Formats: sequence, C-alpha cells, structure tokens
Amino acid sequence: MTQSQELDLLQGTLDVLVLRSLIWGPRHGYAVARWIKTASAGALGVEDRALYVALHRLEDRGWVTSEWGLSENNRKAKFYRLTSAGRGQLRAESARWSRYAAAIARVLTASEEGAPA
Amino acid sequence: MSDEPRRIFRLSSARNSVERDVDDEIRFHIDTRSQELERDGMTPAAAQEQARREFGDAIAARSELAAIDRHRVSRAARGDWWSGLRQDVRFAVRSLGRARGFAVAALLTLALGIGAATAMLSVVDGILLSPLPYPNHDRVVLVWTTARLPEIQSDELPFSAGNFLSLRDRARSFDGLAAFRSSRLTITDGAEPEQLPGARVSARLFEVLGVRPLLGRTFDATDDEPGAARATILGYGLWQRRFGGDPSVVGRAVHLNGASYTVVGIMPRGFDFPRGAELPGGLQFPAQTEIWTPLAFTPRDLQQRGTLNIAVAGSLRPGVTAAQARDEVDRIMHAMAPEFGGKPEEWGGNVVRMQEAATQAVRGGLLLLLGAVGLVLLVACTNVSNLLLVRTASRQRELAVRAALGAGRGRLVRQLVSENVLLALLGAGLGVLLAAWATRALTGILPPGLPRAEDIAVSWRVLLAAFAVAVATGSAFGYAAVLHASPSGLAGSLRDGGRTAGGTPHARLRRGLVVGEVALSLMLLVGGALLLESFIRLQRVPPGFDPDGAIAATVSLPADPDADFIAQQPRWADIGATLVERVRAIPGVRAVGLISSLPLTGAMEATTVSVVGRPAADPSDRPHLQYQIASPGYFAAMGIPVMRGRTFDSHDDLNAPRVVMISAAAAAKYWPGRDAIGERIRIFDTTATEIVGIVGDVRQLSLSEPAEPTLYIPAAQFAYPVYSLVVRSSADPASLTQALRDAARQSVPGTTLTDVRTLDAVFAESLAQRRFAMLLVGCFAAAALLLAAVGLYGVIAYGVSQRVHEIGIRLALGARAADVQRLVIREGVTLTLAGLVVGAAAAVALSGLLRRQLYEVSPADPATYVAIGALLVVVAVAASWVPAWRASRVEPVKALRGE
Repeated sequence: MTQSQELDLLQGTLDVLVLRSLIWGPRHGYAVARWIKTASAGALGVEDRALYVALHRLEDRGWVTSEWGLSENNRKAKFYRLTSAGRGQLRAESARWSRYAAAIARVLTASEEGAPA
Repeated sequence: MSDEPRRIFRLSSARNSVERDVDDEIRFHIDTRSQELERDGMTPAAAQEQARREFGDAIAARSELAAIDRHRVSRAARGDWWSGLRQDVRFAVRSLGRARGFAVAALLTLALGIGAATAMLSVVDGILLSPLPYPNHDRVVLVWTTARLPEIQSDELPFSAGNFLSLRDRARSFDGLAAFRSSRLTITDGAEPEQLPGARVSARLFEVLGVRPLLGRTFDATDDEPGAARATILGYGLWQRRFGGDPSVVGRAVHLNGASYTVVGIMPRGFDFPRGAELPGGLQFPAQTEIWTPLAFTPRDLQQRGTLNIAVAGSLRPGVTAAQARDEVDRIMHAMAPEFGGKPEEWGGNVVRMQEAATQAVRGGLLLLLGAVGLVLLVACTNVSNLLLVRTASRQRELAVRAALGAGRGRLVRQLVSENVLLALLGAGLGVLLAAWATRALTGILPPGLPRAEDIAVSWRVLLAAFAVAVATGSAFGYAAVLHASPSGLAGSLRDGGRTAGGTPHARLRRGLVVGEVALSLMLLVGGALLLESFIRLQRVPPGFDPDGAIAATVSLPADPDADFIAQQPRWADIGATLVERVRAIPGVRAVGLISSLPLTGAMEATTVSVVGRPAADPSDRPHLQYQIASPGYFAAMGIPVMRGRTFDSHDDLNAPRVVMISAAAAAKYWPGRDAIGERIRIFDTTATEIVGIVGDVRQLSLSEPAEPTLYIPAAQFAYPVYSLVVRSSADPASLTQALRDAARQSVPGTTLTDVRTLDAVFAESLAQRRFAMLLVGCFAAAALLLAAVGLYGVIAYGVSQRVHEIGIRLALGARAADVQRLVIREGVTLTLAGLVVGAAAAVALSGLLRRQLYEVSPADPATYVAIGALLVVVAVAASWVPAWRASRVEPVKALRGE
C-alpha cells in the first residue's frame, strides 16, 4: 500500500462519507469501509478504527440505527441504516461540502486580480 | 436486536451486552477482511496479521466504542423513564377520573389525616421544637435552688440576692449569670396612668440572652449598682403604643411609680423576656414583659439570705454542658448552705436549658395530642391503603391484560405507584390547605397561658414532613398492591373473569387493615371519652367558693421597688382600706374583698409556722401552710363559708393584737380532734398570732388538686402592694368595670385596676387546657370513627360485589333475604370485634400515658371500654347495613347467568 498517495481526511468529512455509504440501504461496518475505499478509488485513507468510531457516534446522535443480521458469508453482523434524521443531515452536509469544495477550487484557480478563471 | 424492540419489550440493555456487541462487530470485520486477503492468496496467519494491522488498535477501539454505546443506552433509558412517567401521570389522571367515588374518598381521607397532623405538628413545632427567639438560645439556661427540706422539696426555687452574688463569684461554668424578678410599674406620663408588666434585671441579662437593643443601649455595669441614676429600657410594643415610636424618647425621663427614670434604650420587636408561661408560676411573671429596670440589691436584700425571690439565667461557657453546670452549681450550693443557716445536704442547685424549661409544663399534654393526631394519620393511611387494595383487586383483570401484552412487573409497579403518589400528592395539597386553616383555628382556641403560643406557624419543616409521609404511603401501597398481583395470580384472574373469592392473601390484608382501623379508633375514642369524663367530673368539683355573680380584678397600689417592703406596708394597708370603702359605695355592690392570690389561678405562697406551747421535736412536725393576705370582706365576696369563730373586721389593724384565720383542712390536719380557735401560732417567726376563725376549703392551684391547708392573714396587719379585688354585686359586670376603675383612681393616684373578669371566667379558664385537650382528642376520635366506618363499608361492600355469584346460589337454594343480610352484617361485626380486642389491649397498654390528664377516672375504666365498644359495634352494623341490604336484593337468575 502506498501511504504517501493517500489523502488525510479533513475533520468531519468522514461522517458525511459514512452517511453517504448507507444511502442504498443497510450495510455492516466492513461494507462501509470497502465502499469508501472503492468509491474514492483508494485515494482516501480511512483507518478502520476511526470508521467504527464514526459509525457509533452517528448512532449516538440518532442519524443511524443498528441491527444485528446475517452477512453475505452467513455470519452475524451489525448492520447500520440511515434514519430520516440521518438522511436530512446527509443532504445538509453534502450541500455544504459541495459549496465548500467549489469555493476552494475557485480560489485556487483564480487570477492575480481575483477574477474567476 | 435493535434498541427499538428492546425498548418496547422492556428488555435490559446490560453493560456487558454492550461490550459483547462491540467485540462481535470488531471480530466480524477482521475475520471478513482476512478471508478476503486469503482469497487473494495470503496464508491464513498472514491474512489475520494484515487485517489486524489495517484495523488499528483494537483494544483502544473496543473501549472507545463501548463508551459511546453506553452513553447512548443510558440516555435512551433516561428518556424512556421520563416519557414513561408522563404517560403514567396521564394514565393515572384518566383512571382516577373514571373511579371518581374512590378518588374523592381517598382524597378526603388523606386531606383529613394530613391536615390534622400538619396543624398539630405546627403547634408542637412552634412550642416544643423551634428555638427560643434569643440569639444564645442554645446556651441559655435557668439556674434554680433545690431544697430537700421536710416541709418543702423543690428543684425550682429561686435564689436570694446574697446567694446569687455568692454563686456568681464562684461558678466557672457560665459566661455570664444574671438575676431578674417581676415588677409592676405604673407609668404616669401621658393621659391615662397604665400599669406595665415589668422586670427588674441584672445589667448582664441582655448579654446573657445575646440580644441587642433596637435603639440606644442596654444597661451597663454601673446601672445596677446601688445608688446609680435610675435607668429604664422600653419594649417595642410599649414604645409604639405610648410614645408613637418616637426615637427621641431615648435619653428622655419617664415617670414610673412616681419616680423619674431615664430611657436608655428600646428593645426590638418580639423581645419580651421574661415570659410568664415559660417560668414557674410562683414567681408571678407577667405573660410578656414590656419594660425593664436595673435590679440593684439593698444591704437589707443581701442580709436576707433565706428570702428566695429572684430568678437566675445564665449562658453556658462554650463546651460546657447543662449537666456539668448543674453539678457545679449543686456543689457550690451544698458548700454555701451553712452561710444562710441551712444544712449542706438539704440545699443544692439545678441548671436547666431554657428551651426545655419553657415547655416543660405543657410537653406531656402536647405530646399526648401529637400521639392522638398520629393515630388519626395512621387510620387515614390505613383507610387509603384499604381503598387502594380494594381498587387494585377490582382491577386484576385490567392488570392481567396489561401484563399479557408485555408490561413487565416493574412497569406495572411504576404505573400503580405513580397513580398512588399522584393521589397522595393531591391529598397532601388539600391537607396543607386544611392545615393552614386549622393552624389558625387552633391558635385561636389555644388555652391562655400556653407558652410560646406566639411562635406557632405552619412551618416548611412540617410541610415537607407531610409531603414525605404522603409520598411514602402512596409508593408503599402501590408496591404492596402489585406484590399481591403476582404473575400467576394475574393469569388466573384472566381465566376466571376477574372474580376473586375471599381468603386470598389480598383479602386477608384488607381485613387486617380494617381490624387495625377499628383498633386505632377504639383507642382514640376511649381516650376522648376518658378525658370527657374527667372534664365533667372536674366541672362538678365544688371549688369552695361561689363563682356566680362575682367579678375579680387585679389592683396594684403605688409601690417603690427600691424602698423597704415592711416600711411601705402601713401605707398599702391604708390605700387598700380606702379602695374597699369606695368600691362598696358603688350601687349594687353587696360585698368587696382583697386577696393576695386568687383561687384557681395557680398562684400560691407557703410558709412554715410554729404553734405556741407545742414545741416541735422535729422541724417536719411544724405546720406547713399556704398563706393568703385577705381583707375582712373577702370571704363574703367569694361566698366562702365561715365554719367557726369569726372573720376579720375593721378593728384587726396594726394597733390591734395579731389575728389569723385558717381553713378547715388546716384545722383538721394540725389540730385534729381539738378546737383550733384561740390557739396561737408564730408566722415568719414573729409575734404570736391568735387563730380567730375557721373557713371552708378552697381549691387554690386547680380544680384537680385538693385544697391545701391554708392560713389567712388580715390585709390590715400585713399589707401587700398587689391584690385581686373580688366584688359580689347584683349589677351587670360590664357596667361595673368603669365604676371600679374610677374607684381605684380616686382612692389614691397611681393605683391601677386591670384584668376585670367574672369568677365564672376564672373558673372556666382554670379548665381551659383540659378543655382544649379534650376538644382536640374528641375531634380526632370522631375523625377516626368516621374513617373507620368508611373503611369498613368499603371492605364489606367490595366483599359483597365479589360474592354476588355465591349469594345468587344461596338465594336460588332457598335462603331468605334476612339470612343473606345476617351473613354480610356478621362479617362486619366479626371484623369489628377483632378490632375491639386488639384496640382494647393496645389502649390498656398505653393507658398509663393518659393517667396524668385524667381526674378520678381510671385509665382502664371498664364502663368506658364497654360503652365505646358498643358504639363501634353499632357503627359497624350501620356501615354493613347498606351492602347487606344490597346483597339481599340480588336476583338469583341474573347473578348465576352473568358476571
């Protein structure tokens, strides 16, 4: 694994990614981790431990709920599901991130006078 | 399982299950990852290793995740608890609203019990428990002389001036010791002269109590030295009343008993020490003191070491207990006895905390009333529990359904408890309203002379106690109700449609409670009846005088407290004679007399005399007699019969030979079988005095105490400055009052006449404390009887409703209505008889507590017990009658077919 090319996550972004990963239905923690890795094409380095902390915090805030079920390999696994509050939170945070990213991108590509490129 | 069903089904989310879940989750992640790595070609060991590394610190993760989950679970539990409570309260309000009859009965019962208990506790709290209103209340003590003489044995004798000074110099247990004695002062500034309740006090008294003046200063060390300039301190009430609250009065001169005194200070509102009701009656302190002058001792005072006439207060040194101080004072008095001609073993000292001393006289009676009201509260709680049990029993089916739908036992307990606590709180709220009213009513009818009556108010302490009792009762019985509603029992009640037969533990508990209620009521009723009997007997006791058509008043002649007592006597004798003459001149007046201590007021003075020509080998053989100073007309005015000899007449003055009269009891005790007339005695070890007459006995201290042997000394030969004036007249007492005041004012300036009342009122007042106790216990007993009747009715009625089926069968098989009625009534009477047996046993066991309040009635008086028992049986029959009648009207067919 090439550590140097992975980007460290900015504070708070992990929560959005986790919420986003659950939008297609309940997933267990391992599936969430795999989805983030795949979706970011391995660009985002998320330590598994931090991912679980995020999942449990989200549950504590009421944005996700958990339920024990059976995994694809027929083992007992804890599945997380978005609550409606979680869905709202995801919408709000995604919008904020898009605006933020666009603003940063605009600034980084601006001309000397500050006019957008 | 998610939290949702767990919450719905009330399953536990135990701590270790949180940790197990976290472990399972982490293990699943690592296993799944390592399987994936194995599929990519790694060896199992390497795959495990790799998966663990990727996960990070699993141990730290485990505790971090578990902490988050625990937080979430406990918050969820709290939220559940609150929303459950809201639900419970809503539910409780609804279900109480449905059972309106039950709710009203329970609320009124609780309100009555808590209201009565709170009111009585407020009185007791104000009088017995709350601290005296002096900053040093925890250290202030009263110091007394004790005597173990043949003729007098007392632990509460005052000091003589010499003994006080001697004690003050030797005792080490006190920060300060101060002497005080009552003094009546007549103020002549302003329009109308007024006699003021005053006290002469050591300069240190204020320091001992820890009180500061509102204005000016208290006395300083030079004020109570003989020959100091005359200073006085005014009480707040007096200052407002006579001086309009004018601050410039400090420094001005006022005229008291004809002499000029400088006002040096004003005491704050509420300071009125000494208060008569808190001190032994013999010292004749006024109810409240309004004015203070310094107590200086003349050389004559200091010589008379045997004249015990001053009270002593002290503040204990920090760390010294009252018992230690008592030991020290006792030792000092033993050692001091020879200095005043006593034997060391006959004299001692006593130290009591003022807080205890203040309430000693009434403590027994108040605690008795508190006990009685406690019984009422117990009956009320019993009644409410009974109502609750009956209600819970009739709700078995509802509870069973709820249990079947998944409500755990804890949930059911909480629902019943919250229902009962709600009921209890509402009842307590009503009770507090009742208590506020009752406390005001009680202070209105308090007997006169009750100490600290001005300190009574509904206090927060008492309110909290009332609420605590209410909540405790509510929770306890809610819980008890569910304990009986066991899961198996609940299932059973689903099957048989909620019909329960008697004989279950539940029914036994209900019957037990009714038996207890009847027992408690019997105790209260017996107590009330015994007090009533005593009261009636006392009212019939002949007091020895005729109260009808006579009035009494207090008269004070001008007196100088600093001048010699003996030297002033001839003047008092003249003024007294003039006053009597003037009063006799009022139209309608038939007889007039003066007496030093009015009978039935508790005041008395006593002395030991020697009989001339009959030397006593032992001092204890010398006659010990109460003595009264009386004017010639006193016996006619009071209606006291003269049995032998003559009464005093106008010739028995200072120029004539000394004469006395004695009471029949004195003649019988000290001159048995001989004629006392003509015998000569020496009083106060002075001139021989001839007995010229014997009069009937008079109850002096109270109606309940037999007449003491008494000696009457003519006012013309040994005058006092303060008397009770007794007037027998055909005129209306109200119209007479003004005429008496005028006569007093005209006889000599400075004479005052106060406190005019009929002898009937004096007679009634002497019974006031007993009437108060009897009235209260009577009310409590009536309340308990009512509650017991309600309880009995409730249980019998419920029993009938549960046995409709059985009664239907009986009727169908040919039982007559009367048989069914007898069956039901018999149950009520049986319960009552059981209660009577228990109650009578308890009442006899506790009867000793009542003995002191009774008069010529045995606390175990069989007639009373039988009468009260019969009353309770009648009440039981009455309470069972309605359910019995209803039972006999059951229609057999309906009862057998339906539920």
